[in-house]
Parts: sequence; structure tokens; C-alpha cells
Amino acid sequence: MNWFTRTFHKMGSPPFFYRGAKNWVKWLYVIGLVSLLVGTVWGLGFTPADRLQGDSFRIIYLHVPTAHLSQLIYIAIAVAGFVYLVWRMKMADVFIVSAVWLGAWLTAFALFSGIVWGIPTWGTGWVWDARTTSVLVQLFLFLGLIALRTAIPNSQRGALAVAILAIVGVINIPIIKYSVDWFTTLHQPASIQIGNPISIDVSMLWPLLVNTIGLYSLAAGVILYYMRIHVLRRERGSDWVRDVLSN
Amino acid sequence: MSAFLIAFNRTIRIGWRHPLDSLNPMAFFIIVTSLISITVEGGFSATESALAIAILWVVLLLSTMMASGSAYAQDYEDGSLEQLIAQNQSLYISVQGSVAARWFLSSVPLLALVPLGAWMLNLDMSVWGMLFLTLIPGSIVFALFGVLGATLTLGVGRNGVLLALLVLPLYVPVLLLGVGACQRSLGQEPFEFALIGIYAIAVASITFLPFAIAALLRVSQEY
Amino acid sequence: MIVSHDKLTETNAQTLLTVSGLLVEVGERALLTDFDLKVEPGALIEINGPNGSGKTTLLRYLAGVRRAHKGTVDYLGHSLAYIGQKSGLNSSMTVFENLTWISQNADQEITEPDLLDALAELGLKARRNTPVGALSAGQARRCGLASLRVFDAKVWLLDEPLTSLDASASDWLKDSITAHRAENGAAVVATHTSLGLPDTVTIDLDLP
Repeated sequence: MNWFTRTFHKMGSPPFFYRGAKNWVKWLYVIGLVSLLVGTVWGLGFTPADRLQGDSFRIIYLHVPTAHLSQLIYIAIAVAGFVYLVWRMKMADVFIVSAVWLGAWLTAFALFSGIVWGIPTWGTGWVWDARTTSVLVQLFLFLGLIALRTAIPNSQRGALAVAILAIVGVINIPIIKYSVDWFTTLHQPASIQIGNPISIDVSMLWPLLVNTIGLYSLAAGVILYYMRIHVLRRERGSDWVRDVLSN
Repeated sequence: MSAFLIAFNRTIRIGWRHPLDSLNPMAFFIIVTSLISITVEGGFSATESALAIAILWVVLLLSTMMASGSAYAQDYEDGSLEQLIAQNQSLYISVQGSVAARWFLSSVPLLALVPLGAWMLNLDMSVWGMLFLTLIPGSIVFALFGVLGATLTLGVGRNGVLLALLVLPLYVPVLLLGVGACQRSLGQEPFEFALIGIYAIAVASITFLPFAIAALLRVSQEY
Repeated sequence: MIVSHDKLTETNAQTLLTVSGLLVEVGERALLTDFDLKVEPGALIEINGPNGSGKTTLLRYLAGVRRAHKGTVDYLGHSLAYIGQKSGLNSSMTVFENLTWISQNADQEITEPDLLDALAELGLKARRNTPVGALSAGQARRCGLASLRVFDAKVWLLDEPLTSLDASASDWLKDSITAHRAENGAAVVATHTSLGLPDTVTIDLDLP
């Protein structure tokens, strides 16, 4: 516990974060790009085609990880919002500002790749079913966060407002899911579920796993990269930034 | 006097002096419903009731959002909000009183227009009961989220479009459950899940959203 | 009379407000670090300083409009009245309605005659049913000051109270403050022109 609180406090200290994150960014980029390359080549070139969907199923190697990651980022933003609200930890807001654009782009890409997948598979790019609709709503929530953050010039007040909106939004996500689910259901059931036998062939699963690791690492790298920039910008008046810049 | 009643009385009193704040959303409701029925050739037929339900819900949602967009703006400008916070009353209870008053001022008149809208869209009479059973809790949730949106954007000039962007995604569950319940009752399918869901969301919103609104009111004074 | 009053002060001498270690910040800029203040009964404290030195901000912290994130502001159970730069009056409500709301909000029971007395002293009695929006700037300011009577609070926090007041209203305010101090109340006033009352403690704020 002592170790945990100490690390928590250290992570909240901008100079410590700035220096500590430097090497992480590099390695996360390397791991991310290599894994994505390996996973994508493997998935596109060396796995058997799906019995029902043919080659078009291969888009899951990008679609599934982006969809999951975008949702994870929204939840992480809400958690960071909570941390900011309770402890006023500046780094939590820095995280939100750095992650929110990536989250929006990933959500948009998940929707886009879903459309591309849907056209050959279901014969239509867009189905108003539970998952598509809730991802669309999630995109709106991301855009709302971005718009609100941009509209309030005062950075602390903006940060607090965004934190509260993110928390209200994250409580809404499961409710949105349930309500859309009830409203109409068309999709195939989720293929990978904890506790259920895996209905996807193992040879198809490995590249998906590698790609997921790759995408997560790359995203973490991008977020850390932007966090470092934001930290520098915010602390521009302080001594340690002057030290960093003069070196 | 309790903080609830103080806020309720005050909001009603001020609202009474600004009747246009209630009348404009009503006019909006009627105009949009008319435009929709005009553009459908020959008007709506009774077989299109499922569509009419969805239209009524969405128009009511937009009108409510318009009506609540200005919540607390005047108190923020004239310093009453400072007084409210400085005197250490329960802001949570006060917010509930104020939102309740706003619901009476703008949502009840809009609900009173729903039969007119339903008639314009030639809605099957058999759904009217279900429509009100769902629209009443639905409009409470809409009003609460509308005030939340308004407090998020306090002090941000020209906030109309921003408000829509922030609030509309949050309206999705109630909209789907409400429209779904009405449509299913029209088709005589089971709707209990939606009915329970919409009332549960209303109770949860009344309980928890005022916390968020009160927090935002404090935040608006902090920086 | 005066003797008994002094006795009262001694026996009931009870600190009205203690501020300790308060951090006053605007945005991410700290204006005051570790600010301490003790307000005793009968005190008049003037906060003085150039524009931007944080007079208003400090007063907002004292009023609890801004919450202290570092340090404490403790009223020890006493009540406060805060009159900020914004009037706190709704322009579509009448003078009377506004003051009634202020007293309800401060959890004070006030009778109508008391309220009318306060309005009469400020020359607002005839306008009690006029919406505040229809008053002149000076009259609206007087109406805000009338709420000092309505609050019946121990500690008055006033932000530039002399702004747009004429000579008679200024005198009324000074007399009110003197009377308030005599009744073991205290006032903290942010201003760049001193009220010129005796036994004033001045706190000078500098630009950070």
C-alpha cells in the first residue's frame, strides 16, 4: 500500500512523469508497430479463410481491437475524471486531454471498419443494432467531451466539467447497451467471451491477440507522447521545464 | 422553509414573469410537428403510428432541451448563485426544487400539447395511454439532463449547439425505451421491461443527477 | 451603557472567523500562500491592494463561494453575509421578493415590518414592489446593502461596497458598520478607498 501510494504520488508529479515516460514512449512505439505488422501480415496472409464469410472476415484483425480499445479509453477517461475530481491530480486531466482525441478517432475507425465488414457480410453497411448504435453514441460522447473542453477557456474549470461529463457518460454506456439491445438485436453473438468455449478457430485467434497487443501498445505510446507535450506546455513557467529545455 | 421549496417557489415566480421561456418551446413543438405532417403527402395514416410515436418523442425531446438550456444562466450572471452557495444551503435539495419547478413550467405545458401532436400525426388512440405513461418519466429525465447540460456550459456564450452535442447522446436510453414501449404496446407485444426501465432511469436520475448539477454549480464559481 | 457593553464584549468575546494556511489561487496561479486571519467581534478589516492582487478572490474564499483546497476557513458556527460585485438580485423579482428570498436562503426569519424599516432607511420603501431591473444602478446597490439587515449575520463580507453609492447611502453604510461592530459583529471589506472608520485593521495585498 505504501509503495502504491508513493508511486501514485510520483506519477502525479509532472517532472517525474516527464522524465520517466520518455523511454516508455520509444519502447511502446517499437512493440506496437512490430506487433501490428506481424499480426496484420499473419492475419491477412497466413490464416485460413472463414468458412462462411470468406476473406472478408479478416477485417476483424483491425475492427475488434479498435472497438474494444476505444471503449477502454472512454472508461479510462472516466476513471481519470474521477481521480481529478477527488484528488485534483493534474496528471489525470493531462491524460484526459491527451486520450480523448485518440479515443474519438479509434471509435470512428471501429465504425468505419464495421461498415466495410458489413457490406460483404450482411449486404448492408449499417445495421441499427445494439453494438453499432452504442459505438455511434460513444463517438458522440467523445465529441461532446472534446467540444466541452474546447469551449471553456479556463483550464481547471474545463477539466472539472469534462471530468463530471465523462463520469455521467460512463454510467450511461451500459444503460445505452441494454436499452438498444432490448430495442432490437440482429448481430452475431460476441465470439470471445470469458467462460464460454471459444467459437473461433485458434489459428485465427493468434494474430488477433498479437494485433491487440500491438494496438494497445501503440495507443499507450501515443497517449504518453501527447501527455509529455501537454505537461511541458502547462508547466512552461516552472523551473524544471526551463532545465529540460536548456539541456 | 426547506431548500426544496425555496428554490421551487423562486423558480416558478421567475418563470411566471418570463412566459416566453415556456411558450417558445411550445410553439417549436407545434411548428415542427406541423412541418412533418405537411411534408408527408396526404398526412399520416393510422397505419404509420409507429413512426408517429418516434416523431412525437423526438420533437418533445428537442423542445425540452430548448427549454432547459437557459437553466441557472440568469442566477450565474446576477450573482444569486454566489449567494446560494455562500449561504451553505443544501445545494442538492435546492437543485431538485429548481428542476421540479422547471418541469412544471416547461414540460407540463409540452405534455399538454402531446394530444394535439398525436392528433396531427393521426396516432392510433389505443397508444395514448402508454404514450403518457412513458412520456411523464421520460420528460423528467429530459429536463434533468437538460439542466445538467446547461450547468456544464454556464458562462459559455452561445451554447445552443454545444448543449445539443453534450446532452443528446445521454437521451438515447430513455428515448429508445419510451418509443419501444409505445410501439410494442401498439403491436400488443410485451413492453414491461421498457416500462420498468424508464421508471428506474427516472428515479435514478432524480436521485443522482442533482449531485452532478450541484457539483457543476460550485465549479462554475471556482475559477 | 458603554461599560456594560464592554463587559458583554469581554464575557462573550468569541472569535467569529478563523482562517489558517489558506491557499488563494486564480487559475493555476497562487496569489496568496499560507494566509492566516482571525476575526474577533467588533473588528473591521479592510483588504487593500491594486487591481489583480486578489481582493475579490480572497473574499470569495472567505464567503465559501470558492472552496479552500488547502487550508481552512472556519466560521465556528457563526453566520455570514456576503455582498459581492454582482448584486445577487434577480432583475425580474421585486425588491421585496428579492430580500425575502435572501432571508430564506440565509435561513433567517424576518418580519415584514423589519424589512420595511430597512428599506425606509435606504429610501427604497416606496419602490418595494418594483422589479429590481427597473431600479437605477445606485438603487439596486442600496437594495443589495439592505440585505445586510435581512441576513442578521455576525460577519459581513463586502466587496467594494462604496461603488455607485451617493453620499447619503455611503453614510448609511458606515453607520450600519459601526452599529454592527457595537453589537459584536465584524466586517471584512475589500476596497481600494478606505472607509475611514476608527480601529480599522488593514491588510495590504501585493501583486504576486
